[in-house]
Amino acid sequence: MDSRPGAGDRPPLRARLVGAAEYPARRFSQAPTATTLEQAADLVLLALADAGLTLADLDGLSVRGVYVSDQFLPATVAEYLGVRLRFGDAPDLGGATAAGMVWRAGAAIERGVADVVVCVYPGNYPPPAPDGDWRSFGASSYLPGSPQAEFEIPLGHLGQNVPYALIAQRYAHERGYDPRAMARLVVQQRRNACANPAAITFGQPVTEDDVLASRMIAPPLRLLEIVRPVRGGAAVVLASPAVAARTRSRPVELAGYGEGIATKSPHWARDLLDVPLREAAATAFAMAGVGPADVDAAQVYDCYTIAVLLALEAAGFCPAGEGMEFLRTRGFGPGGDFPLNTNGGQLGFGQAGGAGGMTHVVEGYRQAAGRCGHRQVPGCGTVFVSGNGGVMSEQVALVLRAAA
Amino acid sequence: MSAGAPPVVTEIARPWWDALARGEVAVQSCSSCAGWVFYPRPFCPSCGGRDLAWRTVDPAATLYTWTVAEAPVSPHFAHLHRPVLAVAELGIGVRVPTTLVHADPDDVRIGMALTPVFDAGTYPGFTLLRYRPA
Repeated sequence: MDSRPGAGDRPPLRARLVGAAEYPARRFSQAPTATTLEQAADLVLLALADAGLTLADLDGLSVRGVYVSDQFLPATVAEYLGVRLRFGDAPDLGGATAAGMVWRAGAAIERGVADVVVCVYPGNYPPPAPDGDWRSFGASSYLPGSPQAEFEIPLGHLGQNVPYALIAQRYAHERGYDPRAMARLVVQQRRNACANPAAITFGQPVTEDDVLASRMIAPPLRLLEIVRPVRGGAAVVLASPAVAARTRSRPVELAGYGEGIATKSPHWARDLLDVPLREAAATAFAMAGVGPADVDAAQVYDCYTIAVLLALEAAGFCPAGEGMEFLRTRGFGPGGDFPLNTNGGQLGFGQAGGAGGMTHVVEGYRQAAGRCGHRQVPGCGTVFVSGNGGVMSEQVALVLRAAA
Repeated sequence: MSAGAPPVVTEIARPWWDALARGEVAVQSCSSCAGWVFYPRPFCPSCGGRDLAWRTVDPAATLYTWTVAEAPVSPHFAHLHRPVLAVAELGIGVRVPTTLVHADPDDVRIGMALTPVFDAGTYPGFTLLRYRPA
């Protein structure tokens, strides 16, 4: 049994992360012409090979971002790969999907439902929606019965920039705001991206003044505080301990996980600043038997600077209201006192559609496995990973730990 | 590309739209917990009660949060110049997505008093609840 503090009467944690693959971020004009189904299969094969495994080992798939179909994704990919599965999943958690895939796959492995699960997300965007289809503008629905379609969209409340800005303005009112602290976060993540040739902003550092001079999109949010869409894609392999023992690299334990879901649109949140990552992180830390102070590196979902700020507070890395001071004073590089988004995060790497959340998982795995080369965090034993879907709507926390 | 996007109205919310057409604001009230319910539902999300009654309330509000769409939110709203998107909080505590009209973004402050503007001119057959600084 798991005797770690905080494990309580939970079942033993048995799932391991054993391999990963990630396409470099590409401009849309340089995107591969392969179909998303071909890319999913390619990523599965690359990730299995990275782990030292083959298709013969695979018995579970969690898949999104395959736009050849709206449904039957696990079977579609299984058929294409020519495998029989014991577990299939296609979580619907927006930017938290990748992290949500990982813990669901881990739980399946812990219960013996499957032994080797690949979570895969080709980093593309859905085909352009026809005129009048609001999904192309960031709304999830304009269908009859949708509260968005009745109370939000008619007034122009749609997309992501506006709702994140509404949260940031409220934060400024309740807890204070420091645009230069936000700029400093961007600067450090862009510096991290300069150590990652796969990042879209590799070789393109910015200064705080650059950030503060970038175009205002929705006050207080400026252009360089917002992710840039890219093409990409990533996959990660989870396995049981028996399989993990014969894989190529040091396995990483899925030590803790949690999830929180609240409102689809922040307009309806009782408290705009009390985001569901609070519950997700508390669950994950308790399961892992560690706390925020034990984390050696954090890969925090960063579609916007405000999303990082709220995540740092909600996960307990700093008290509520002290996030700006945290951003002003901490070092976020691999050698800093709080290594954060060490591959550049999405603000530096780029956001490869729904695979944006997968880049945090892959970097978290690689840091805990000691596979990050010149951007490796020294002595990185415990990594926190978060996912964020919608507008702080669906959030997932993972605690990864280098296996003994 | 047509301008805007009219509300897709549900039957449960018809009294909201009917009240706006009269220049009033009506909100559901829960007979079990006395809580207010918005957007409209067949039950109270605070207590689960199913006995709700529509009541006309004071439409005056304060500004809960806001921003400006310096970049258009979509081609359908690209004809608007710097719309001020906001969430207004009614005196009863209910919050509504809205926009501010006749508001200079430089003068907007969270907590400022707002006066309702019943806008029957944007979408034929519908009245929208917008606000202006009081």
